[in-house]
Amino acid sequence: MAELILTKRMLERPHDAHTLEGYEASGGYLALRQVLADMTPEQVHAEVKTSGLRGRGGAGFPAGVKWGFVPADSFPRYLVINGDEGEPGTFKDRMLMERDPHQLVEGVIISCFALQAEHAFIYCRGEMDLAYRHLCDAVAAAEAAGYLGRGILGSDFDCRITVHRAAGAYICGEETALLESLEGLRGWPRMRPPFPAVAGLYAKPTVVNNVETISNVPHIAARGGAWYASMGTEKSTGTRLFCLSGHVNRPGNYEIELGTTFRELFDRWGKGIRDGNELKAFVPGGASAPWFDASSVDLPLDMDVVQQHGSMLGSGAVMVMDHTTDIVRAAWRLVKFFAHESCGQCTPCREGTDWLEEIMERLLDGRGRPSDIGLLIDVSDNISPGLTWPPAQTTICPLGPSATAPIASTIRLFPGDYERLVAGNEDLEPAESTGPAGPERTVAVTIGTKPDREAVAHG
Amino acid sequence: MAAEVFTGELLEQARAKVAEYPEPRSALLPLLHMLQEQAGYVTTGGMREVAALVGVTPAEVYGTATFYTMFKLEPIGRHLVSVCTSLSCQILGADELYARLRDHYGVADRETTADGEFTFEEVECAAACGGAPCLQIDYRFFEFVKADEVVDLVEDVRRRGLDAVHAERGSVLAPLPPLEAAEIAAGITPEHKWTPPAEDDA
Amino acid sequence: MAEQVTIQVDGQPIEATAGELLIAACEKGGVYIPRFCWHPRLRSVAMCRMCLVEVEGMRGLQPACYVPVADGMEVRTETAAVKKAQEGVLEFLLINHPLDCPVCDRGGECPLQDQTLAFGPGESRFVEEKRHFEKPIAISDLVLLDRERCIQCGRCVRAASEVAGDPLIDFSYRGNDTQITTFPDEPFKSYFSGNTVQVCPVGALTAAPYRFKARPWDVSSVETTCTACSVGCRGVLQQTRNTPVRFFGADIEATNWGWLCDKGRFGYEYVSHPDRLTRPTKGRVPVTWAEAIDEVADRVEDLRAGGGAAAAIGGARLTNEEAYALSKFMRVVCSTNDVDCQLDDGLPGAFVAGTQQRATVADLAGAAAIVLAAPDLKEELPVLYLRVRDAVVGGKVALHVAGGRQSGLDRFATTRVAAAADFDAAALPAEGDVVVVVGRQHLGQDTEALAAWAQGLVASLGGRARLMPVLRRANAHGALDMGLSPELLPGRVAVHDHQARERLSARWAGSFPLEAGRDTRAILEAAAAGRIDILFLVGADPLADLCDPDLALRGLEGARYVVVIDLFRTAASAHADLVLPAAGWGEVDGTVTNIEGRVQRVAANVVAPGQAASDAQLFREVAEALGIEFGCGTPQATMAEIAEVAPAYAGVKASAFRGRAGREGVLATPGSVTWTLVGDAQPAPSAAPGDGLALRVGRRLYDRGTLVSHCPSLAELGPGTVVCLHPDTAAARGLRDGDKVVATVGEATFEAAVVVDAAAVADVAFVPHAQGGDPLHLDASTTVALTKRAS
Repeated sequence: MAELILTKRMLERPHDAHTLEGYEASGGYLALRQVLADMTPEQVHAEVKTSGLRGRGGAGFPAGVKWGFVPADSFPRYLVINGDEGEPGTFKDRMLMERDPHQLVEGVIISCFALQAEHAFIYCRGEMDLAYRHLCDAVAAAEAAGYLGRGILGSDFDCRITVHRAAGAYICGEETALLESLEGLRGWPRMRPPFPAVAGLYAKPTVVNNVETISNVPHIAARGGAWYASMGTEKSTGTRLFCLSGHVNRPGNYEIELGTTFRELFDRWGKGIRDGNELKAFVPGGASAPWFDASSVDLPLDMDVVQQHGSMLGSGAVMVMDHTTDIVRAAWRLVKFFAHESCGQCTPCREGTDWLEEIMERLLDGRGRPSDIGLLIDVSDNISPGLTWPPAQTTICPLGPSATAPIASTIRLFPGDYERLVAGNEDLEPAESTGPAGPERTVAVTIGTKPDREAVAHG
Repeated sequence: MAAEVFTGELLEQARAKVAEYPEPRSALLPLLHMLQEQAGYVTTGGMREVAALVGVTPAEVYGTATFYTMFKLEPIGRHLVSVCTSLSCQILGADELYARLRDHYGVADRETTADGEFTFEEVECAAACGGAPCLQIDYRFFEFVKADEVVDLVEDVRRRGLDAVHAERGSVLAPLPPLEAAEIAAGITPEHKWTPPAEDDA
Repeated sequence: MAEQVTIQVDGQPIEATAGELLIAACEKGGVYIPRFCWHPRLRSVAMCRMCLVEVEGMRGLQPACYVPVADGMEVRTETAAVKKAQEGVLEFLLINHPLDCPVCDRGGECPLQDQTLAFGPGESRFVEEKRHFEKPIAISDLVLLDRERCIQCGRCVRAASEVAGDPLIDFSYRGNDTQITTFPDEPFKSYFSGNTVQVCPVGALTAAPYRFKARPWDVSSVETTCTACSVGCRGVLQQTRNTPVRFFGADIEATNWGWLCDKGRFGYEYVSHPDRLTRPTKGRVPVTWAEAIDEVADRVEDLRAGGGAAAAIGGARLTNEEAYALSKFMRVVCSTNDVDCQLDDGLPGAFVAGTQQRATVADLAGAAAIVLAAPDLKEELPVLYLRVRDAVVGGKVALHVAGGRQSGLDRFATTRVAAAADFDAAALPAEGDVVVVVGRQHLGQDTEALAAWAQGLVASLGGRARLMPVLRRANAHGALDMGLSPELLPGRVAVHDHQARERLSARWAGSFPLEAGRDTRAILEAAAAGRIDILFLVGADPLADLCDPDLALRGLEGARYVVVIDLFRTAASAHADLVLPAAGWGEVDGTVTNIEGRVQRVAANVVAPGQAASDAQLFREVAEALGIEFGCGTPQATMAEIAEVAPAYAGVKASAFRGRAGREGVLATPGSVTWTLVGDAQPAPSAAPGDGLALRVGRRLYDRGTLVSHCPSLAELGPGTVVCLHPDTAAARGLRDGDKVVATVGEATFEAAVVVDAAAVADVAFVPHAQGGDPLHLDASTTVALTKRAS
């Protein structure tokens, strides 16, 4: 029988799981004691690899493999925890940080031991005031109890944690933007290479892991990677927190063994669609994920299978929409989100997401033109060429292509919802072009392929 | 230029914050938070002080500060009401909820009531989708807020103070997974665990 | 030597250097990949996404500005996917662009316009409201920003922060609201602000002096060398209707990499100033050139007949050819070595001209260490500052600062000592080249001692040392090389050098003394004593520039006949018997020599106003009026003569300046003159007595000198008359920033404003030179007393 791992303590001790006393009283920091007494960093790393634990932030990359990318002899190195939960539909990390911060702190200390890192940073979303305070309290309490600091629990392992309060920018959930932000800069994603594992924070080797990912580490360290891998499916091991929201009767965070189907998530855990309504669409893994309609409800909560079906489990946010939902308006809301959160660094995302939002706004206002549906697809294609899955990108980071996911998937699944909005608006189409096109352009191309005037005049 | 915000104890705290990081500039966001808490918003003079404390130019501080939505470059009301209108909240009525507030107080987005009590802002996902529609007042959560009650809620804060209202009505801690005891006992093994289809089905 | 590789671009092989960026390799191979944010002298950021191409084996489209080439790499730049992406990016850039090209300074030379013509759509699919910002805002006295035109490529931000080290503009806000801004109400106050205008690929940043002055297709351009200081930056001077309207940097590997300082960039304004001298005047009465020549010739003839004495001060503003003509005139026609292009404010001439292991600017980046015993380079030789900064910023080259004021380079310094003499050579790395940059650090400095110290350091390092002596004035190095020094003859040789005199005798029909002549101070002393019959002031004003104004005045009053040849009236010209209008930069052809000894061309692009003429013309015509065969008829003929008689300039021929390589100029070869310290160095200044502070007078980039004060855009940028004090020094005297004080130096007093400056040295009062007040009498032990004035 699969059991609750991450949420067990908070359910059993809802009033004091977040305190050191509550945490220790329910077996907290025993894993750390065990690790420091009996294990080498390599052994801890091996257990995490064996567990098959995959990142819970969205990309789903195996944590043990990620840790392995750190160059062997390069110090200092850093562990950075991504607690900038802001993907629409996601609200699990907030719960973990508020309700069981010591579980994360213990996971950080054990992970630092495995990585031989002596300084970790928890980048906590700024608007989560309580989570920030609980993390600060937890770190202070752990320090006072000797779980952090110099020579932890009598070993020769030193470790400290800085809890860093962010300030409101979704893009900082992207790991390189997070590192820029942590360095006091604008949260602009970095070009890769170099990858953070080689040159991350302060250009030093850095591992960035999600809150949920690292919260699993104490359990894996204590009970072994094989135990963890025995749950879930072959490549999506363990349990996972799914953030179920929208038109279900019982929304909330559910820790579920991977391999469960969406249908079971909606019916058994969500207690069915509200008011007995029909399921129309659902977002299977956060705002960046292409949408599914009701025909996909029997797909399993398995990262690879969902990927093969053109979407992703992503951050574990499942948003459910019943048949009353205005699909175009709902899709617009996510496009608006991405436009608002675009960092502005690269052209296609800075200009394109905003343009997409404005076109959709026009559709919803009744000013849409029949050609706008094609325009939405073509502008999307200029951000994410081919509109493939996983997405290609003309951008630096995946945020721009994410904005195209709700558009492209809803136009494909619900074309009628779009067509209805532009029906009868043929007269809004612009007159036939009289501007230069075709042959004239070939002449111009010849000019442009020479070094431009800037190169000549301005060097 | 004499420091006006970072003096005395706050200056000590700021210096300690800078020392926590391997490189001083990392303390930029934490120091801007301190500034905002102290001065009510991110003031021009305060940004100069932050620049000096972390060793960058004021232009660099400004560039960073304006990137993050939590930093307000103008004074705001005594309470900041942040209404989430992102997808899960939107499909459960957040737009109407926010419209009620604006209509009642006669303000537009990111405006402050005439008495300086409340500033309202529409925000992106506040990470309380399980309690949609939700809002934050001074970053404290209120979940399952109905359009019909939102004005009363805000007025209640004005009357009785945020602490009292939040303790009664708000989410003091993030909601737990809404499981019943029997469900917990039954475990989380799927009823129909998915198995990969046979090769010939693919 | 970097490995050479071959890549395939659209099926064609292109040779490239391993590790080079794909976009640069393709361009050299003739395949131009469109771009906006990439600039060869700035860090690659791959933000604009215009240069996306396909690279075999890499997933998705790759920015060519970010991918280093590797052998065998297959690149496709013209596939349908590439074209679609590029057209898409262009459309994105255009949707919010105001398309106000008809009134945009950049119109006609705008990469965005060019790319749109080449790749852009014929019409817009964007029917929404465009972004709006307040139209141009002045972000400094010189630069305006139009955020509607901005395409957020960030070149300006990188140029300001990476190149100049002045991160005073940055991106602010985000997403669709992203914009470039300064800190609110704080100007973009950088000596290098014009570079941001130059790198802006659209018309978002425009220069106030050029705004609306011309259309790019209406200007005529020449490439020339900047003479705002002696770094020798190359640039393009543009004029329309005989008025210079713009000067921008040319990307020359050896010197300026395309960068200029703002003084160089905007300093062309004086050329067309209405106050330029346009005709000869005698007293207040205009005379013709013929009358002027006759008058000078008469005076010189008297002098030749009666054994009188002539002397010349100045010449650092001249081209090498003009300086040579002056040098030849004084020796051959006036039979004197009393010539000096320095006004007791440089370095010993023979020390500079005799430098053997002379450093080039390029040597800086390849050195193991740089020793800086120089003035604040940012204030005096700005683009050299950029090159030193570039060398040391990553820590690859160690920087040792030996004396001088604190500067923007100090933060990169491995060691810093208060005076050059205190420098411990043990701090230098055991291996690798060491470049020693040496220059006068303040006006009262004992530079004999400084030169001796530098010589000693170089000698102790042996073959791995390179010396870069730096003089500030435009062509001071060239003037010395042409013999405008009491102890030097053309070609970096000593006046008593028999071989050199032998060589000269073929061309120089006249005799001149074997002994060294008088320097500027001695000339003025002699003049004051009534022993100078004709004093030529050639682009020099001792009343303004000599740190002994009393001596300058006595000299000018004592000289029997004073001829001033200059661009503008000066304080000295009021004492002149004859004032002659000179043609200057932008008006004459020739060559100049920079701090490296690099000889580069200057080119005329406008006609000098009125009857102003090249300085060389006066000397030639006077000589010819006296029946002396003088030569030097044209700059080309003079250049050929110099190559013949001046061994260091043997390679400086017209042919050397042709073609692409010729743009880098020619390095003159080391001379034979040697310099040694005679006698003892002056004692170090004693501690300031009583309330007095040690006085240091130094240069700021912008002053109230003749040229800057005739550039309307620059004239007001100087600090004014100020006294800069360290915070502790100011506090000890109860002085605060902005306080007005009366400063007493000896018997002179002046009013000044206090500037409290953390970079100042404690217990020293730093006063910038020539900021509008009278020059100060300085010697090494000068002190100043400050009295606060009630406000």
